[in-house]
Amino acid sequence: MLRPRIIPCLLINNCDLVNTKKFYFDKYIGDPINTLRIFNDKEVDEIIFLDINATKSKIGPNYDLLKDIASECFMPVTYGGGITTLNQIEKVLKLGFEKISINGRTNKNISFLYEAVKEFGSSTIIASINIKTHNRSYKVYDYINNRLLDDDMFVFLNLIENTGIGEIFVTDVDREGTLMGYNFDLINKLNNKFKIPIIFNGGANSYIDLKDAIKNDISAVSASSLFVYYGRLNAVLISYPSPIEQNVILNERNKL
Amino acid sequence: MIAIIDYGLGNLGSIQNMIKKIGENSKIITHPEELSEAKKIILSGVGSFDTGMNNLIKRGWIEVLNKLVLNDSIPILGICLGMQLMTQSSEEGFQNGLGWISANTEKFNFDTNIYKIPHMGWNDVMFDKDSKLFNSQDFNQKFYFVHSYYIKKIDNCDVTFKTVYGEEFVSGFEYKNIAGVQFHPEKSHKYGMKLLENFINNF
Repeated sequence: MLRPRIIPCLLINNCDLVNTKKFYFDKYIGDPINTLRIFNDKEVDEIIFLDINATKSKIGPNYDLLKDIASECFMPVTYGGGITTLNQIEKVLKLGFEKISINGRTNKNISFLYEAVKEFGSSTIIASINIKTHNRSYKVYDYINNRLLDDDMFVFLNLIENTGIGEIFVTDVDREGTLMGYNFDLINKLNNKFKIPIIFNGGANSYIDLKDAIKNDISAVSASSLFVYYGRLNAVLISYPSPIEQNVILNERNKL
Repeated sequence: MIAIIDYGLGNLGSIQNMIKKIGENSKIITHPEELSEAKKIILSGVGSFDTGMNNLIKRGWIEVLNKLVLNDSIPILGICLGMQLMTQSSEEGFQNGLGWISANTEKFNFDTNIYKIPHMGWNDVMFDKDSKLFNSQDFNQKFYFVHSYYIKKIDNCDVTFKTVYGEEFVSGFEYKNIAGVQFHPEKSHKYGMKLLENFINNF
């Protein structure tokens, strides 16, 4: 049976691990390498590292940090943040990362996605798409310029899928970091629309949330706060479903 | 020394990281002539079949590999595309494969959206009997897969490993000194580490 993946999404700011709420800085979490070692012990399915500052500041990937991260990762690992050239992708892959996430937010990004897929293959390139609710509809959000795309979400997502990328990492910006629970209206709209895997991220507040999302056609669920916060006061504590909890979460999908 | 062949495709750093964690020495080899000292060989790779074969041909690997593997019986482990290159041919391209095993590589083809392509994620690997790579004591194993092409069946192997994705396919094999796995042991936590350790110690 292919198991839907449960993926911690970890955010890097300079060399720190941080958490954000609706894309605004919320809290310092700790050292990325120490945190990664804990996730390693918990045998996580996969990890996504996003450098939230690398694009905005135009400094690009922090190769020294990424090298340390890769040497501790005995699971698939994705990097995203500040990637604008094929040369950067090659360098990050050489360090030991499997996949590169590229934010899809303008038409210019789309042509870069094509180039990246052509050079490195489908399964290496993930398109990361940020979605915001606007007038009861869903719009693609360009976080760099803080604006919404005019295009319909599905028109844009189909353009993205047609670039040949291997997966789409969808983040619900309105719920990101809020622990409000996944937006199941959005999940239902994305359900069964794509031939490639969808990783859904933003707002998960419990393992039940993960289980309910996986009941759909969603190939992977992702969360940050759920795996780094604990309790009413959001104390920092790294957690991840145990093998038994994973079996419960994945139970609904045994049909595959 | 365990030689990891660098023919311009794939993520070799992570294999080296894991072998280091096991406590063994490995070397990424860029020139075929350096391969003569190898006690074990790993042929990995992510990318397309023809690019893989063309790179092996262009960089002069074919003759050396055929000699070491077929004549000198040096153990070799193919990972992902590395395993597919050991077959006769692939639906992904026009080149002939290395042709070490009697199997062909085919493309996943499903009528439904339920089975996404690539087959990506953690899946089970089943085996009929204990072998050099797998041991029934290591139960509850899971391995990380990423691939769009696969080996449906294989003739004349000592052992084959099976995985189900839509249909049953060959996720690994052992044939004399040659072994192949479709999944990525270097990305499969302690399960993959155990498999690589078994390859290093038992083959």
